[in-house]
Amino acid sequence: MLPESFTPSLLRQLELFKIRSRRAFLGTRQGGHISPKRGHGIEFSDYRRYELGDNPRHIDWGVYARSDRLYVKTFQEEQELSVLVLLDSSASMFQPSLDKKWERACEIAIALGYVALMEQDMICVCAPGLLRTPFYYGARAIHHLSAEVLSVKPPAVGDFLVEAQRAINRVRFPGVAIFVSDFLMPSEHIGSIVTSLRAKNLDIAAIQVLGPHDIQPLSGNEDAIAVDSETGEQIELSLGPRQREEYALLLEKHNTQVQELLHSNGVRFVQVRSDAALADVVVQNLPMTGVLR
Amino acid sequence: MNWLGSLGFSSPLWLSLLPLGAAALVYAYLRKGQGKQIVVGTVLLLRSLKRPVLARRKFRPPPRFYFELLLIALLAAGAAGLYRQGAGTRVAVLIDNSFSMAKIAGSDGNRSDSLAVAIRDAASLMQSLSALSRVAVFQTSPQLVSLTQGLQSPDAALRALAGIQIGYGSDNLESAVAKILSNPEFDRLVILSDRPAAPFSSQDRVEFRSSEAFVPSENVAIGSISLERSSKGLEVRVEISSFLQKEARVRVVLESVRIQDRELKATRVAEHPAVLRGISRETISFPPVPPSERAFRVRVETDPSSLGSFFDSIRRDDVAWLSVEAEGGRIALVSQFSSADLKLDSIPFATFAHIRPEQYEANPEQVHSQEYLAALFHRYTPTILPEVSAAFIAPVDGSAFFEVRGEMGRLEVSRWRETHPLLNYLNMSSFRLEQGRILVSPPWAETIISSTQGTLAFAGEVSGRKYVGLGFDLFPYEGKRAALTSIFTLNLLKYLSESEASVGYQPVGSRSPLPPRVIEVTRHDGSGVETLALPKEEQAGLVSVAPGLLAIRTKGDDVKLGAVNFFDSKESNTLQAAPVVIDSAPRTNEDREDVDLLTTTIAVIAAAALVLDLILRLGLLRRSRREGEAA
Repeated sequence: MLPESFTPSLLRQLELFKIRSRRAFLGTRQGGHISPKRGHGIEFSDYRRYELGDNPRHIDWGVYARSDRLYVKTFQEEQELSVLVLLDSSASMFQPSLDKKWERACEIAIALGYVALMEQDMICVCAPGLLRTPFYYGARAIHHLSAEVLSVKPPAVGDFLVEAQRAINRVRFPGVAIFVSDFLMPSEHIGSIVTSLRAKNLDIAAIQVLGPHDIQPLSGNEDAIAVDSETGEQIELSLGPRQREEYALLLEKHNTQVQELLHSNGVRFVQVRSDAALADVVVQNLPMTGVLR
Repeated sequence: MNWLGSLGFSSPLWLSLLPLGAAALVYAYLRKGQGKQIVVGTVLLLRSLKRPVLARRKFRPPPRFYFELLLIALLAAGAAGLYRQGAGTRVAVLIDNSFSMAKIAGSDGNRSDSLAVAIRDAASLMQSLSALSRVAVFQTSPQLVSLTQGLQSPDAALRALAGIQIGYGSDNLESAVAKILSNPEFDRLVILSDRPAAPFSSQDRVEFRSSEAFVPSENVAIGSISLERSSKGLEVRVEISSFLQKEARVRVVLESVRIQDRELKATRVAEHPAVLRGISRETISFPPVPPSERAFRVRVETDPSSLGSFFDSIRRDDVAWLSVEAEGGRIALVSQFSSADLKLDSIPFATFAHIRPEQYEANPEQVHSQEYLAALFHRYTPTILPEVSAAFIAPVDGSAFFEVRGEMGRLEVSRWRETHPLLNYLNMSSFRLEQGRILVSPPWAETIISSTQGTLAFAGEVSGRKYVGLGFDLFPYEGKRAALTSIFTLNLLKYLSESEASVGYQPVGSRSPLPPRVIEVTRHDGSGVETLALPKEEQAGLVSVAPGLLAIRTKGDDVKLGAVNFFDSKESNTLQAAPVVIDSAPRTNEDREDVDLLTTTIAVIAAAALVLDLILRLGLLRRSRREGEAA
């Protein structure tokens, strides 16, 4: 079952989208994406000399008439696209629970899955250490995919970087990879994950999901002890207006750094808020990455 | 407010726990943080925030902090022994009236002795008590005496304070405190002394009261005095003890004194200047005076106009008395040799009774029962410890109570206890022994002279009697020709007999024999005359509780003179006072029932608070667990 937030109108809107890649990838079966493979298709690709065994129907008789040589037309084959949705399964996605960052990430993954399956693309959702679905294919598989994704519960993985590297090493098919995370991790970790994804010949897009508490931490508590959900580190804070301003600047600086790092690696990037409406996120924010069109 | 005024602490030192505990609590809360713990996704960015330093942060503790502070306050108050003066409060007031309390202190315009200050403090204490309280007043010197004959009302105790006078003796505070504390009648013991309490020795029922009068001050005292008869006349030797912080000059004056018409007449005979340095002893010998003189007074005079002047805080120890006629007690000499053989008869003021060892063995009681001051066992050791102070000089065989090793030649002294009274005026470094025996000190004795081979001399006390063992022979007594052994012999007689009669006086509190047919004894100390009460039996002797010159008038109008002195370097030492160590004797259950202290109430409250705190903490823990599970 799809989550309640996937209303019929949202599904109708999603059916209009298609996963987009900036490069052509070889697929395994026929689909809606241009493949580098030459063969049957609509899009003309090139001429080549007739060879024994070629279908005489593909001979361009006009060229033969002009050049007195036999040439056959080749077409770009359209194949399915392999889509990998990599969800950040670190504890920061689950905490604070009120922010519902994980839930929003799951909804994004399901939405992308819905779009991909409707277009006869293969999709796999991977939350390192918690979940790795098989590559689903066909529209009916959306319910399986949704059930699997929604079944994931905390606790989160201990070391996300290690688990993520392990999960990426298992990727077999090149295609599109969409990394959904809050990106509240050191730049080196992000760089490491992106490099691993690139090494697997994936066209990468990144979606940053930030919760209200990521933007305004410890709201309503001037004096508090912030406990890191991942490391357990405790930091005593006294957040006055000055500190909050300082934090906003720090967050902006961090996001800029992340964005620059991703851009330098050719990764498309978009930032969404976990408290925004899902329809707005899917319909307005995701197309900005170029992943959907 | 009256109720508040009646509150007090028996061990206020423990109140120092309160600021310490409060500081620790504040620090703990500052370290722990004042806000609640909130789980955030990551502290990656929060860590980079400039946080205010611990000390400058505003401290706004949660209510729990105040609760815990209250708990600490209760515990500190309980440890300090909070009590309420009221019905059932039974206070023992122990006033140190030892000689050191004669020290004069205070500013120039308001000088009074330490005892007067202590009495004033005691009076104010009694006035602060409610009429229902009961007080017992004790004085410590010369022994513990109750001045109130049990518990009395504060007013009656106040009246008893008037009877306290300076005692010529040491304070015996430790034993006095132990004795009072062993009495379950008392809820509190208040000690007024010039000695401080040793740290960590206070007991919950004991309270030390000190005053600004009990501060270190300077003093010069006569440490000892002796009179020797020589061919040139009478030689007076004085030892001056100084307890000074810088060098000072004094004048020691020797006066010949006589009693004429019940009045003391003094004539200056000689004077001797002396320069005293810090804590030291200076011995002064006066030139011989004619043997016709009967008694002497020695005074230490300070000259305020001279350089190095100081304020002598105890004047009473600046005077000493000597009498040529003083009679010493008899000393038993258990030896094969008579006192004439050993030339002991030449020792002035001492009488020796010769007892052969076989006579002693046949009837040891003759030494024990007859009132000998001491016994000298020469080249002979009794099988059991004699019931009189004794010296075992050059013992041939050991006994059950100490072991004697074989005779050895060429023994050299390697170590000696300079401060021991037996070694007064002696420098043992030049002491060589051609022959001697090594002794093994019994457990109750301490080694006072050691050679490289072992112990040469030991001294110790058992049941109030003094025993000395010497591995070498002191006799024959050769006077000045063998100065070291002669001085040792005199020191030994003085040490054993506890009597300084041999040097011309009796110590305060000792029993001096009276001649027959005494009709009156008066004591003259230069400031007045006191007629002493005669004992019911003449043989019992007379005890003088204060120093001075005794005029003993007999039938026929014959007047004999006797001298009484008090010397105690510990009591005269006004620069340093040894702290009082109190053994913490646990109170019995019976005592606890009687005591109306608030500590019990406080303990109950503190325990209840602790339980509440525990419940609160468990509740919070469960809540946070539930919240965690829900999250």
